[in-house]
Amino acid sequence: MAKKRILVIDDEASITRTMKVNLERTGAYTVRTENQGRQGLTAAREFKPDLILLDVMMPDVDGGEVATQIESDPALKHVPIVFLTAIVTKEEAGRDGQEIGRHFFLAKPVNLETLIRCIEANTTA
Amino acid sequence: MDPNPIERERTMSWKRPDTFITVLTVLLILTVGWVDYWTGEELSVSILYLIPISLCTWRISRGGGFIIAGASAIVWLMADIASSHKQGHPLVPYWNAGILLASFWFVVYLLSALKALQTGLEAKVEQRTAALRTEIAEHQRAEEQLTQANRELSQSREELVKALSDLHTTQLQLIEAAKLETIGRLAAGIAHEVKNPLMTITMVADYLAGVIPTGEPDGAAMLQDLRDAIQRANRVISELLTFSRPGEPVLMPEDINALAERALSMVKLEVVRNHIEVVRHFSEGLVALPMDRNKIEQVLVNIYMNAIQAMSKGGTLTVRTSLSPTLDQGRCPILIEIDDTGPGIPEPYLSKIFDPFFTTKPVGQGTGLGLGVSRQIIHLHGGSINLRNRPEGGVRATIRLYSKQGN
Repeated sequence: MAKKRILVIDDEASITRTMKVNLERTGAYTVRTENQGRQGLTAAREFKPDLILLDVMMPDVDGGEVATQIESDPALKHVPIVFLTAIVTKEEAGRDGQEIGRHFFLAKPVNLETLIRCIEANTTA
Repeated sequence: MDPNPIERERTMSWKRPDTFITVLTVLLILTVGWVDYWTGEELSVSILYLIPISLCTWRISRGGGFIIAGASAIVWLMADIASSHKQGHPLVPYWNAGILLASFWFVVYLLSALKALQTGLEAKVEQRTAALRTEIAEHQRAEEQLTQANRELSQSREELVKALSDLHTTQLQLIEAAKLETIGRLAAGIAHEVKNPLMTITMVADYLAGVIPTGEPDGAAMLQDLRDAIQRANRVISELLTFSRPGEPVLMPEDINALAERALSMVKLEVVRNHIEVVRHFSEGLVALPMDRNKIEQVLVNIYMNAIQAMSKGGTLTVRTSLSPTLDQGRCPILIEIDDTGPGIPEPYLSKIFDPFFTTKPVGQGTGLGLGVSRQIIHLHGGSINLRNRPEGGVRATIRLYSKQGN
């Protein structure tokens, strides 16, 4: 079975690195990480991910802007986006991700189990 | 113009008996004359003539009295002439009649003077009574005006007190709002700065969980400690965020007993660990209230945890739900009472327990935000929450929730 391609865009390098290690250790995912919104957009076009994990608050181009540009790209608009945010509580985000529009929210900190459940719920097998 | 009603009444009351009095007077004169005739020279009988004379003078008028006196003297003369057998000068009866007439007229004069005096006095009394009535009426009017002015003054005072109280409340709300705004800004900043490292730590913990050998007890324990620490730090930040912007509750009809029970199941571990006995007094048939289940559960868990932490050496946690028998805000609220058997809250702290960051718990055990968040959530539901020491010891937390239409 082909591995799912996950793109993680977060300005915190420690987060992208640990997420990549954990997700790839499961053997089910190929993970690419980026620490800037602009580079994340470029990576999305090249990498063609099955799902994007996207930080909301980033210094150059924030998560909202990245999502808008992905949505306007015909080649990427079908790619589900899961926002990772540090400024909502777990209750506000919902247990396994709150759906807002066509996107989902996960409140940081999120553990691996919840992360995988959310990825699986939003990607086709 | 109509005469004074009192005067008119008086005149009428005098006029009516005039005919009767006149007839009676005439009859009395004739009777006395007849008695006088039969008694002959008995002078004392002459005094009887004074009866009709006095009656007429007093009840009709002085003129009438003079006429009746004249008539009496004539009757007396006739009776005297008719009954006289003695010899003497023929003018003696006329002379006597003249003296009698003079005496009668003198009596009439005296009586009419007395009558005039009485009438004058009565008029004065009436005048004075009328003046007094007017004065009393004016006093009453003035008193009414004074009462009205007092009422208005009292109302103004109440309005002023209310305005002052509203002003004080608004001032407190403004201070609270400013405080919340500061906390809000602070919370968002802190949340971003703390939750990102927590995310990394969480990921590292998950990684370690996968690499630490299964048979390594210390590793598993340390991992659990790490996860507990992450959870605690996250709880502080989350409570801070919730406190600064609690958000609108998503209201759905909920059974409060079920919520209380579900919240109890969330603290089950703590209940067992602290040897707490749980007593439930759930009223049946309580109306389902519109509530945000997650938020109310959060409040109940907060209160339960406070109660449990206050009974670290064991005790009884009593949860009671009921419909309040007394009206409040025009409705009967549903009460949720949570009692513990702990040491209670020191009195000086009672007024501060809902303040942000106020805690009586040891360092690291409480954020000082739990009760503040709970109060905000209950207020968002239109309810109220208070904590007080129970006379028998321990603390009672009382939550009041209202249905929209009343119960």
